Amino acid sequence: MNCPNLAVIEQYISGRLKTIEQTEFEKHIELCSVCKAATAEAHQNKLLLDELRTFGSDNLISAKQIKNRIDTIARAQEILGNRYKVVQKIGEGSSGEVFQAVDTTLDRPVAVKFLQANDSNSQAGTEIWHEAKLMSQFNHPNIAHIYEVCEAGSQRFIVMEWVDGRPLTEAWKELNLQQRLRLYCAVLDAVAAAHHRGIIHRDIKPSNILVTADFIPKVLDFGIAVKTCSLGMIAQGLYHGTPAYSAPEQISQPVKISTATDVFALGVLLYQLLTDTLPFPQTDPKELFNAIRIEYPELPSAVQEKIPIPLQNICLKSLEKNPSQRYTTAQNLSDDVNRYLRGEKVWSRPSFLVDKVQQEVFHHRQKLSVWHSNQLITQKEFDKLENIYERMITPPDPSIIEARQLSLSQVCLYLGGWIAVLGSFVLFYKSWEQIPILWRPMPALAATALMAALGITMWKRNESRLAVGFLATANLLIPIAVLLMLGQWHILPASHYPWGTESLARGSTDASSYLALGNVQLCIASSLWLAFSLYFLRTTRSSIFAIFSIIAFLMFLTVCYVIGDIVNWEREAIAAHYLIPGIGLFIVGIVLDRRGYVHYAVPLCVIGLILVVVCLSVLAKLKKVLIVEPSFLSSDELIFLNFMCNGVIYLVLAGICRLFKTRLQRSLAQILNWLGPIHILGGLRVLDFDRFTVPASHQIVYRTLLPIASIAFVFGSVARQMKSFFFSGLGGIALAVHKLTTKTFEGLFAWPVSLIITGIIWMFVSFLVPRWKASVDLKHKK
Amino acid sequence: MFKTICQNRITSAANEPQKLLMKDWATTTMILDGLKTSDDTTVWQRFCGHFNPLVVNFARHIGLSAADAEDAAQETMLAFLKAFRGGKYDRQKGRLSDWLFGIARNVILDVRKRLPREQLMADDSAGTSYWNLVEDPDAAKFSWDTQWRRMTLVACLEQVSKELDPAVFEAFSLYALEDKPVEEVAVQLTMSHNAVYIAKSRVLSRLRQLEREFEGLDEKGVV
Repeated sequence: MNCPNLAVIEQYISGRLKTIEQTEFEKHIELCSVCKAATAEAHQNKLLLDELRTFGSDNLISAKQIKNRIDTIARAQEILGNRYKVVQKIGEGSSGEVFQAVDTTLDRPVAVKFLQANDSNSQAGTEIWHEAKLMSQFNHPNIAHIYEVCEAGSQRFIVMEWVDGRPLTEAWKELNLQQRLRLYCAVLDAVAAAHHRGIIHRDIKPSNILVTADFIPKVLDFGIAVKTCSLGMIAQGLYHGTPAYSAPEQISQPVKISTATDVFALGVLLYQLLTDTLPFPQTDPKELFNAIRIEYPELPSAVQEKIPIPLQNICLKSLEKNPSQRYTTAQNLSDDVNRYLRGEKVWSRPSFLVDKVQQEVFHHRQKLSVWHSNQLITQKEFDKLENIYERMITPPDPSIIEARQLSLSQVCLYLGGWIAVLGSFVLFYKSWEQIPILWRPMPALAATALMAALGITMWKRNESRLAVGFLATANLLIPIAVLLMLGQWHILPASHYPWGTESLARGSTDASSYLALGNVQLCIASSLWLAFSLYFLRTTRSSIFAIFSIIAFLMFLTVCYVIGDIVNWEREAIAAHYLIPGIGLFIVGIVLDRRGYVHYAVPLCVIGLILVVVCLSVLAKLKKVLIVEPSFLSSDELIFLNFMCNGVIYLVLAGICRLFKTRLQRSLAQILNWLGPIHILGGLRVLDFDRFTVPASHQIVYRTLLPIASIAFVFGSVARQMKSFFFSGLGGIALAVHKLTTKTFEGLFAWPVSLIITGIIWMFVSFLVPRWKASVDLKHKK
Repeated sequence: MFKTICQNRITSAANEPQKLLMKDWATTTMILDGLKTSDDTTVWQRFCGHFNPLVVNFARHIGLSAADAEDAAQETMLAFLKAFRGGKYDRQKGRLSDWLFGIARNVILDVRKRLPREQLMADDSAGTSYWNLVEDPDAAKFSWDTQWRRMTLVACLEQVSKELDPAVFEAFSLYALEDKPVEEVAVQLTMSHNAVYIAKSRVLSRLRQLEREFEGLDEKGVV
């Protein structure tokens, strides 16, 4: 690599180089002392430039003089005229002077804020003016009301409510946590209401939130505070107090203000509420600005004992450096605080804690791979730990975690849903002669509509946990309600369609007490169910709807087969028709799993596998798995050979699953690894039963094969550490011993003795094996 | 008589602080040495040019009116000179900034006490904390330190702008301070992209050098 130019060095310093370029650059500067010095210089320069930028270029190159200040009562009175009588000057705000005055017409005290003359024409000045007008139309009990916005000549001033009170942090000194939180929530409501109208405060701090003698907090200066606090402004005396409440985006150039900026200041207040200290207590301006931009505050729980962790998390989330990681508006922050106050679970996770966890997990995972490759941990342990780590890094949506927990509320939700579904099913199951036909399906239809409406409302209100509960119930009710409606009201009955006469739902014994349903009706109900399940799945992304979708799909498939007259209810046909969809589901599951949609892949793979196993078993029973049918084997032998063949198929499938190397596939492979040996050894054992027509000569072969196969499985387990093979093998050996004891060596004392001796020999062999292996290894090395 | 001379100079220094700096480059070490050894009025002018606006701003921040702040600044300057010539300031023991801060704060609080109550801008007697100016005891020091830092940087930037080609400084100002894209700056000033990068690097490197010089960091540790 040639020596990089200044542009490249600058890109490196600001971290804009790509990883490969960066590595190359770092390699180069290790070798080239000139470039190393240039890079170090550029780094120092950048630090200085960052500081210069915090002052703002205007304040450094041409320091603006503050002119036309209204600094005397007489001057203020001159501008205000007769309506307001100025009492005293009470201070200089960030954007202008403030006086206490009396409105002589309405006889009430007011505060008058003069906007600086040089601000009036600037963009910021116009913005403040515009927002003050907006705020004057807005009334909130916790916001100091703006009565009037006036213009006298070139001077603009704002007349607002006079609040006599103490700053928030002063007022809550004598209060406990709950009382403080109540005050804080009132402030949050006020800020949220303003945010809702698109007005940002920009300068929330305790001196701008006064608490009256009746403990009512009032937020002052809403929408009329300055936009930013730069070191330059502090230097020129334009900003008062410490800017400890400024958000990172407020003190860096270019300034980008949003509602999240207010959330940061509210986060600082919450930190103070919890700990009575500031999150960034630095007093040196440079240090403070640096801290706000880069550093993370000390954990409130480390400053003060017994701080509720949910509140700590809420606070830290509000103090995120990146505005997009904070609560976007005060409303969202307020929702979480209120959730805490109601005793509900709060799921906010501050990114820096998550980052910390992720960093730690990253290192651990690297170690895990090393441990695994060095065989310090088994594949199973590796999988389990990986699974846990993955969940720690990418936790599912909080509502899903909540929905999976069997909390009292959750149990009530599911129980209610289940009872409603059962109630609708009773309507379906029994005949209701005494009720007019029109009303029979009504309760189920009404329940479905109600559940769906409630679910959608909850979903819109971000109550995902409840929404999924209601929507799932509605989803289960849909097929029942539709079938009831079509059946009771005789819409599309079976008699009208030659291919719809065969009904699946007709009771065989007491037809009158059941609702007779045509296949067309079933087809409509199942397709509607499938459509709604897929729609809810797409909207909520909850895996329960994936399961519903699969069941609805299978139901729809069945009805289609019946309508198409493909199935004559022969097992062979059912197996063939469901084996293919089963394999299809399984393959779709594998594809989804490979693409990372594990949540959807799990139900697809599991149901696909169940279908495959059931169908293969049915086919085996029909002797259809094996293509050839040797004539020297009896019918029963053929059945069991088919089962053994299935066992081999499962083992092959397990091998294929292992090839994909994802966790789901490994779990499926494990299940198949159990199914394989059980089918093979079970088949061999069953073949030896006397009640089946297996010729005696064949029985001897099976009796010999069973222990041999069992031992082969036991030793086969060594290669891939497969416990399923090992335990199936042990089981097989037990079965073989039982068979040999009862059939071949009955009454022979030498048999148990020889078994014991064989056992002891094998145990001794276990001593010798490692030595023998070591000597073989040594020979190989030599 | 000495006071009158000072007063005149202070006023002129307060009005045109930048111009004084333009005349000649002077580090704090140079100024302090000059104050100690000679009665040269240009040194005193420089000193006032540097520190008078700072004290005025600070006094206004603490809550004095513009006129009172000017008075307080003059008194601070004189109090400093008296103490400095009396040998009370040891550079090894603390920063000049901290020492001057102590003097300024005492003088300003003194002026505040003398003033009639209604003249004070930040009177809290109304029982409200509207824009309370001295809400935080650390705020005063914070404001002082920030102003000190800005003064240093402004002085050094002025010096750099004098030393370097105006186009170079302009390139730095547009690209680095105003954050304009390098392409735009290059077109505006008809120079190559690399020249813009070089301009930025040159200004900043020189600025760092001057900053250390100004604060006397290279000579006697902290000032």
